[in-house]
Amino acid sequence: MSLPCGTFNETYAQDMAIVRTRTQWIILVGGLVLLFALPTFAGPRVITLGNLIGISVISVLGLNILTGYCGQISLGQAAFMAVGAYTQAMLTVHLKWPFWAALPVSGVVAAIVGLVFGTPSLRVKGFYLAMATLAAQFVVPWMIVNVKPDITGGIHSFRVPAPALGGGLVLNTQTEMFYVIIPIAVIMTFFAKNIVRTRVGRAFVAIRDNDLAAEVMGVNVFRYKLLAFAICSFYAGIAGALWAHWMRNIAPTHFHLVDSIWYLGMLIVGGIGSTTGAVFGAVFIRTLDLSVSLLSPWVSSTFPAIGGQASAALSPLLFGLAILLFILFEPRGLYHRWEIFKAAYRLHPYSH
Amino acid sequence: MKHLAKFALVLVVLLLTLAPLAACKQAAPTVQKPTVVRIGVITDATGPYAAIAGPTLDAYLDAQAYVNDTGGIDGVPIEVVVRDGAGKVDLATSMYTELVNMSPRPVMLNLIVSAYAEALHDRIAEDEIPTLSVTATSAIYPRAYTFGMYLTYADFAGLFADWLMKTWKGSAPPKVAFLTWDSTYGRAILTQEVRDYFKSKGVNLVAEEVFKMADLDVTTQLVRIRDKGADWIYSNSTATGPVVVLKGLKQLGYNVPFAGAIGFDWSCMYISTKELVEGSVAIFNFVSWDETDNPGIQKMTEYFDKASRPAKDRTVLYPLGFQNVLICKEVIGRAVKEVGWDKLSGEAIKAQLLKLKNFSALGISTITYTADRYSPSLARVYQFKDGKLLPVSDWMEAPNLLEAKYK
Repeated sequence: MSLPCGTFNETYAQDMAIVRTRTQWIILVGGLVLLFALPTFAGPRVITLGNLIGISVISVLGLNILTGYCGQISLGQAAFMAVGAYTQAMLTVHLKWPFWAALPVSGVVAAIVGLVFGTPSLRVKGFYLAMATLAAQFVVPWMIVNVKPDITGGIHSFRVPAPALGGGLVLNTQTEMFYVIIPIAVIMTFFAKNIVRTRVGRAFVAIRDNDLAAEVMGVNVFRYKLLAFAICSFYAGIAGALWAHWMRNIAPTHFHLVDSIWYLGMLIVGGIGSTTGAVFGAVFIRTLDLSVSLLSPWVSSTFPAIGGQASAALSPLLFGLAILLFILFEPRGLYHRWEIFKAAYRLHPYSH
Repeated sequence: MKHLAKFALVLVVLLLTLAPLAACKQAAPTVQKPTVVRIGVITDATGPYAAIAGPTLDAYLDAQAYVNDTGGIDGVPIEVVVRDGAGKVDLATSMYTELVNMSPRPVMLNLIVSAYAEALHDRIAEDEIPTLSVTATSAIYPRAYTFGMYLTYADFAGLFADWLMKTWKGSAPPKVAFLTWDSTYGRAILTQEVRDYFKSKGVNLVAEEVFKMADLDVTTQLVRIRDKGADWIYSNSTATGPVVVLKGLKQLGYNVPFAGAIGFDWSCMYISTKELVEGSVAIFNFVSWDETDNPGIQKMTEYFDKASRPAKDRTVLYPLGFQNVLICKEVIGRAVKEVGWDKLSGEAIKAQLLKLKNFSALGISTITYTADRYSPSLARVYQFKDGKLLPVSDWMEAPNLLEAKYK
């Protein structure tokens, strides 16, 4: 971690600290206070977007551990989210489990499924591994639709109740869900940030950089690759479980291949291999998605001669253009921009 | 003392003058009309259903102009607030949250995508906002605040069976194959109630095949259907769906008639050719664009042309959007008449929806809702003839094929 000018680590504790300086503490605490106070000054649409971003952040953080740190590509993140969502729904609806009890179990079940689809990672890598994980995107929805549709709801939607926290407290509104989703997202961000600093995290990075060299050094490559898949899927499972309660309804179509690709897209746009980048990517893509979808009705009503279908094409066009320009001018992601900004701030007024 | 008497006199005069005025005010409080009545719409202007759902934007805006030109609702203009779900339920949820928290809040909602209606069903019930929706049964039932804007897909299939048996000239019972989209919408016809109804009418349902929305080839499914000797293929798909099936039939040289409901419309002709769809059958609950003598079609055409809409926006969802705005106008107007503007609520509007019997939306469609059936029941069969969709049946009452779990 780069430190501000004049700040030196003199003890191991200082060296290990995530938040190192007083300014960093102030920014962290201030940011968290601002985040949790958001419902007091932001409108319902922003809160709804905040919830979606929170869920996406959890999922992308998981993918970052697998792809960003361990170098294993996955195109099945939405399928693992589906596993978590359906597990949560079945536990809370059919078995009447409380929300908090079902949540970690949903993560664990998704992790187990992730392990299964991660097994080919021992023999294949790159595009071939992507194809192997793609299988999850076909197998999981097929199982939801065709195996025991009376339990899963099959192709139709599965209604999930609003989470009950005991004592008759039911979280019905977007604001109430905000105080469930965001704390979980914050905690999982903290864990994700820490993983890379552990022995496991260093093994992941070693595998990503050169798996042969890692094996020679004594890293059990297969074990750690599977562990990365399990952690990634656990994160996806938790995100899926939260999605189920946030949407109050799940269907196989909620967890499409396109969503898996977009989770990967969020990671690339944010900055692959960085926890902060994963957060940036989720925030950027989700906000952009919502913003451009507001465009077509406006264009259609302002310029009626264009017609609904033609004006509708503007939204995806703008979305695609934004992503394209982004990749063109900042291929290292938003995180890199953030690092440049921090460096400039620390060095101000001197540029070198 | 003299001053006190004068003051008392003034007080008495004031009291005598103001008291009746105050009493009058209490007896007839003046209720302020709202400046605008909002109707929220969540559709797909982008995403997989955009090809067919896109023209709803035009229809809602043109119908809004028509309603406001004809005096609005009790003199209050309507404002249709359209939002794009882009085929994503999360975005649709976000749009819904925005709509219900808007000020003034839309008094009714229209949902043009089954997945949104399914996902929002419970929230709509909690927010008590009467909603017109496309008709996957799980979008409308269990009965709450969501009503179908046309027949349920299962009812359409049942009506097809009725029509087929009326017109069937073969000696053996007709064999029908379902080749439908692998989605909530497509699979809505694959229910036990539909199977039982076909059997009861003497229609032999020989195959149930599905294909993905993105599939461009259904040869495998068609070969299996051909092996079963189907006399008709019925599909619950829209836009590219029927085109893919019809192209497959042409490639195979398999000459079997094709039928669809609601989603199989002019848009299929625009994205392929009129030769490809020639002779195929479609079922709608409203009149065709090609019935130019219909007053509703004439009115729609007037507003369509006035707004210089592109010709390709003449699809099935335009009359549907127009019809929906007219239904909203009617029930909101009736509710206002019954309870007044000050007590206008979701519950009052829902009560009027349930009282809607044979309501003619400018002659475009005839709508009836009952306590048992939250979707209309009248529809007609049309056939593509030389690039036009013309009726080949009278208005028919569709059977109620609601799944047992919702009865």
